[in-house]
Amino acid sequence: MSWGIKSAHAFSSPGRTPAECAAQTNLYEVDVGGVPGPKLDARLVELTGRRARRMGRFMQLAVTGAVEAAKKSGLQLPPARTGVFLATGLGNISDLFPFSHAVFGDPGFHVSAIQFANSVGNAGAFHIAQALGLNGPVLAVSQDEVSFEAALLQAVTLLDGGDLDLALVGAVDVVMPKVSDHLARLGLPPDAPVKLGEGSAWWVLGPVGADDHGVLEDVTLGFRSGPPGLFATRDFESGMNYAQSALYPTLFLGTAAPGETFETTARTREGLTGFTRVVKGAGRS
Amino acid sequence: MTLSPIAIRARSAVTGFGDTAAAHVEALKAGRTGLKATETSRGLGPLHAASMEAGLDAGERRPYVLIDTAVKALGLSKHELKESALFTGTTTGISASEEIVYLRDKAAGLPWQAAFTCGGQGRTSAYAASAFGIEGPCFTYTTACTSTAVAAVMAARMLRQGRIRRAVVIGIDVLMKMSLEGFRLLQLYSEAGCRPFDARRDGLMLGEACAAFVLEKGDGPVQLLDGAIHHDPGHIAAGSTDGITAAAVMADALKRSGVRPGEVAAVKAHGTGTPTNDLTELNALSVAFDGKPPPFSSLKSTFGHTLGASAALELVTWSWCAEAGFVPGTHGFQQRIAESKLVPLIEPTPLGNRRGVHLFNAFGFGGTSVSFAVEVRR
Repeated sequence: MSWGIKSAHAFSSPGRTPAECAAQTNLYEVDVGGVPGPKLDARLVELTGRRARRMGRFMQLAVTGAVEAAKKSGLQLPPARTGVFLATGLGNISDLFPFSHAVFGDPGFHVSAIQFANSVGNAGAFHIAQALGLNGPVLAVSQDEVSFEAALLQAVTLLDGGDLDLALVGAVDVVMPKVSDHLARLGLPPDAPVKLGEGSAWWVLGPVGADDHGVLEDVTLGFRSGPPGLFATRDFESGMNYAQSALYPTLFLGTAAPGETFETTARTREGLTGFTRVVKGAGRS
Repeated sequence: MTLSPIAIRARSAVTGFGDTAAAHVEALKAGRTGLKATETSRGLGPLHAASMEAGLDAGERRPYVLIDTAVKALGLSKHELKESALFTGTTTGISASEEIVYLRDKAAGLPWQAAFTCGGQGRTSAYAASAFGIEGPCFTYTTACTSTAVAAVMAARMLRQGRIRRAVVIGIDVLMKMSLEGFRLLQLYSEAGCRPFDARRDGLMLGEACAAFVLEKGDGPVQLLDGAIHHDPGHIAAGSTDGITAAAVMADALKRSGVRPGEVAAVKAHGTGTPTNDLTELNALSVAFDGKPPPFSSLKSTFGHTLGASAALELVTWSWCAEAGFVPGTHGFQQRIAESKLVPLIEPTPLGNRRGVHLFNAFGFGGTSVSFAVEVRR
């Protein structure tokens, strides 16, 4: 079975070394995919109004990416028959960790009740649904490097079962305020030779149509032997983050010619392997 | 449309009452609560907080030990585990061990050596899959207090579509200072005692637990019929008190399950003991059941609110009680609230001869609202 990708939108960071990240006084002000923090704030306010004013970086990226994808589709999303499926490897760490530090009494952090409420796993999905006026299933799924594939499988299960007409599916991950903490959380040593990034990539999925931006031909998830990492038909300049298996096919769809195929394989350190195959469609997004 | 049957083949729960069905049925039949003061050694303060303090001295291994105990108790063979899919629901997962280390070191006057090596919540499924040789797809749901309710509904959908052969569903949450202080900040934590649906209710109390169950296609004495997942767009930390969303998800779950409202033997309410949740749910029960809901109870004053684990824990323990011929009462309830005519069951109550369909509710932060129906044959 295949599913139509009605639209897609992504923010992608070109990647910075841990040393470059550490030199930033505030990582959440760095450029992400050419959209500097203040510009992202402004766009978010354009898209959602004053709702955005209490959001941390993670939710800013989640809501902006999802709402942009929804708007690009040009579709009226039926409120009760559109699902929201938010995938994240590390979660909303831009609210969660400042809140943890504040609770533990670490200097420089202040406790905030709304920050606690916003730190729950589905807070980003909640704000997306609220911004778009949706009341169908709103889920949050976390599964390391294959979080996007896990979320896609939720979406296609409900689409195939007739529960939904459309699904807004995306992956979001951000860098923790302290880079050494972030590397530890990824299971990497402090001197790991990596370029870190942030990302938010979103698709509107539905039944296959003639004007689709692309077609999702396959999505699978299961344990397969092989090296951990991300393997794709071709690479894109994107700093390492757990949303990459969503970013790559999204970036492909933005540059490919109709009929081109793109395959992505992501594998965790334990061997849990996600696979997607998309074909560029005739539509633009 | 006739639903293909899905059996809940095995169940397990690890709480302060123990790790067997008999221990839980005995405690619930006696109307006991597991809530008691937290040991000060955990650095959480002398709080009336958790139901899981006794009998587990695992230090930072606490979440791992809970998962190990619950999954082993399912009794699946290595081959069965290998071909299973894993559906985990949690809010904090194994990352709770980081906080345990932090609090222990801080109490000992040691500097904090940050060790955020637990990763995101998905590491919880990654751990369980590795520890037990599960090779099917793994999903970790993080929809706050509805996490394992979502897991159960999605697992049933995937089984019926033939995407998976068997589902192992795990709910796990460990008491954390971060959660405790967060609920306090929101003025949702009761210092006096959790009293679901009571006029004097003033908040929830936290618990910790791990519960697990196995879903397979086929017949069995305990069946997961079907469920529904809706979204309440009102507020991130509170449902809409008119109960419209909560009533709609209950009605949808029953319709999908092929069950008429009058056929429901009892409702396992979400019943946190917070002012808004309980009023929302009472109004919703009234709407969904045309003013005459079946008997309903909350287990939050028995186990504490075990957050992402709560739906799994309450399904497992409630269905054990139903098999034993009764539904549990709501510990701590004394006085009906002014805004509703409904009152929960106070004492454990025999089921009699009513058809054994039970409706399970789960609501929570982030607006996800879930109901699902389970049939218990006796």
